[in-house]
Amino acid sequence: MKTYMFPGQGSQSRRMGENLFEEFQELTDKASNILGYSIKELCLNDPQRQLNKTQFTQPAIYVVSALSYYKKLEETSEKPDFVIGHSLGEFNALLASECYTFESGLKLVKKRGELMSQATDGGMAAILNSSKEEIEQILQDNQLAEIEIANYNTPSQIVISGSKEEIGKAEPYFQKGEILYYPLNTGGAFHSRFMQPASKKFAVYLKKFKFSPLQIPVISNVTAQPYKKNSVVKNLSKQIDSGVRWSDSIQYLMKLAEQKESSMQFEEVGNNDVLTKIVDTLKRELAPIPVKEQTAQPTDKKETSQKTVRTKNVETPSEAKEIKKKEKLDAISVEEKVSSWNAKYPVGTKAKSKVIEGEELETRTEAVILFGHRAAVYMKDYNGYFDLNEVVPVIQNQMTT
Amino acid sequence: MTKPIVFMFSGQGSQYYQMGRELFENHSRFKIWMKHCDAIVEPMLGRSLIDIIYQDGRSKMEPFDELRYTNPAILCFEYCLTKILMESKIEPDYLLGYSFGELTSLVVSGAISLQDGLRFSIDIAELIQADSQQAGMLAIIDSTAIIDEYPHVFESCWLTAKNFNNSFVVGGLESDIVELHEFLNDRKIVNQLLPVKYGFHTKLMEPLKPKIIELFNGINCSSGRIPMLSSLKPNKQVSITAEHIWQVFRYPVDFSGTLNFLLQYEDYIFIDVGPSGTLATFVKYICNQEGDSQYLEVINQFGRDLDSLNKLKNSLLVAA
Repeated sequence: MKTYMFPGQGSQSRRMGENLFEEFQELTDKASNILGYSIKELCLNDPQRQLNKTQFTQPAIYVVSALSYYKKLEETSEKPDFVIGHSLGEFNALLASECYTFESGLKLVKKRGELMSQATDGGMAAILNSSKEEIEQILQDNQLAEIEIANYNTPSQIVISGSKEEIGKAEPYFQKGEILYYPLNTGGAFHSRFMQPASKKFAVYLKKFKFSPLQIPVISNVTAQPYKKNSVVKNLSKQIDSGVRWSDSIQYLMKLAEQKESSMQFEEVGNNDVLTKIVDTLKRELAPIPVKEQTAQPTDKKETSQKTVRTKNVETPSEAKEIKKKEKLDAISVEEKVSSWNAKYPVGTKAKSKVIEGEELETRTEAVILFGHRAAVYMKDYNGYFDLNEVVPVIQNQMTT
Repeated sequence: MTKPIVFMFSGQGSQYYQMGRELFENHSRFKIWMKHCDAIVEPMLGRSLIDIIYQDGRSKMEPFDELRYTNPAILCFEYCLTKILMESKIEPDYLLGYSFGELTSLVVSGAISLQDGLRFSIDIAELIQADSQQAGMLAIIDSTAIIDEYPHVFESCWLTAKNFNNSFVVGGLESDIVELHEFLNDRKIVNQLLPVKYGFHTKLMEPLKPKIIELFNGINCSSGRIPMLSSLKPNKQVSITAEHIWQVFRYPVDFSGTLNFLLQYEDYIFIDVGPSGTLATFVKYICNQEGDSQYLEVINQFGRDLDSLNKLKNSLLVAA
């Protein structure tokens, strides 16, 4: 099975779309007419240095990705099973799915870029080697209430968004352990509540357009699920002020392929290979580390645990050489958590989450270690993992007393 | 009043094997940043920079002169050193790049991404290694007046950098530089061959102009968050264009001119965020005990990185 992925902002670079503009002269001219400037000149030479300004970046990426897609159709003459786009890229995914024409899509993107460029005093930062839970905890502990998670790219690569002031203030709190914090070069707090005005205005604009039924399923950034009927206006406006659930979306697609006993191939269409790299990282992070069944005596168990840790580390060569004592201990305790869970609670155990309230969950896998440090388990009807720390098993016979 | 802090980034010639080894082994944040950089570079280079710098058992006395490795090594090293300074609340008001060090400025200021900077540093090294003649560079501790004094040995070389009054660098074809080196040795004029095998800052670079400009034009570049100064020529602030980057590689460095120009306006705290502390030494001689500027290094070639780092922090506490 195949998914085409379309990149968003950040994938632009000067000279993008070289050779495509001549080949698709008519569409290029149409685009320039709609935009009021030469799209080819902007992408190839960018004489006025505008390519990195949101209102220009967005139409430029949309056009280049669209032309790349048409070129790909010519070459392969086969359509993908799914399409998905990162933020702005979702407009290309919808175009590929024949939701609207090239021209209508460009008008939408032009408007979106203009609206988003009006947002100032915001900032964004990439955080690596952390997790959603940890980031939320740090934000909460330090009263950084004006920051939200904007992109869940992989479980450990997350982008936050918020007021310029707090994005600057937050940096020192993330300078610990293995966490890396990078402020990004954006003017607005994209994908956060600070974008609500833009989102509302865009919803009004969207209502002027007619949308056709989708021909290829599109995975939405907002829901991490395929688009439902008549949800274009809602999804595209909501997308501006809510987080991009990229990690969940990719996991959803992988899972889907797995259920059909196939595997999902992800192919990036457009300039650059940003998304390919993210998906590669995601796959690496999700690869479960097998945990040996706990049959031996406790002393033996420790030894096996240590061995497993070492084998894991070999996979990331730079880490292979030294494992500090502390890291070892941490890893062992995670291992112990996992094996003691598996010893007590078989697949199918009913459980409750301390984070998500309400319904009872049921495990659909054994507990595993993710990313080398997180004890996790998967639940029925949920794609993402649950941290073992947040899960409480519901033990029936104890409840009767 | 606190003086503005200038982070200075040195370029080709300041690198050596094992640079910052003590930090790498003992400073966990430095190590984490280096590993992060290495994870980006390794696929581009096909080799781990950490292995090249620290693990291959090289002596720091051996010349570290393979441009394809030294370019990204200098950038990574200076970037990581900057990160740990900034994480200890030592924040620059200006960034001053010396030659290739301007690329570090670009990355630190956020004008270009770390990925793009590293990619560019490798691409340009490959370009230079493929297309240019083998050359050499010689640092000379004397007045530039000797150029006119011994025209016959200097005529086939070019002045590539003015560092301070009695220190300059010349470049030229390898054989000419070796000849000059021997000539100066005979006259007891202190000079040192630099671990640089290409004719940077000379007309030997000329054939590469279109390709260098093309390479840089392929990068997303914005104005950056921290003002950048160039040691190409006296100036207040530079706007980064491909033409400017080309000039950085093509034309001589005027470090003393740049410094004297800046010092007219105010005093500064200059911090050498390179591996050798050479720029701090240059500043020391340029200021020559006049004015109230300070010059500090983060580390130098003599090991003891942690001591050096603490010394820097203490000096800044006193200064503040």
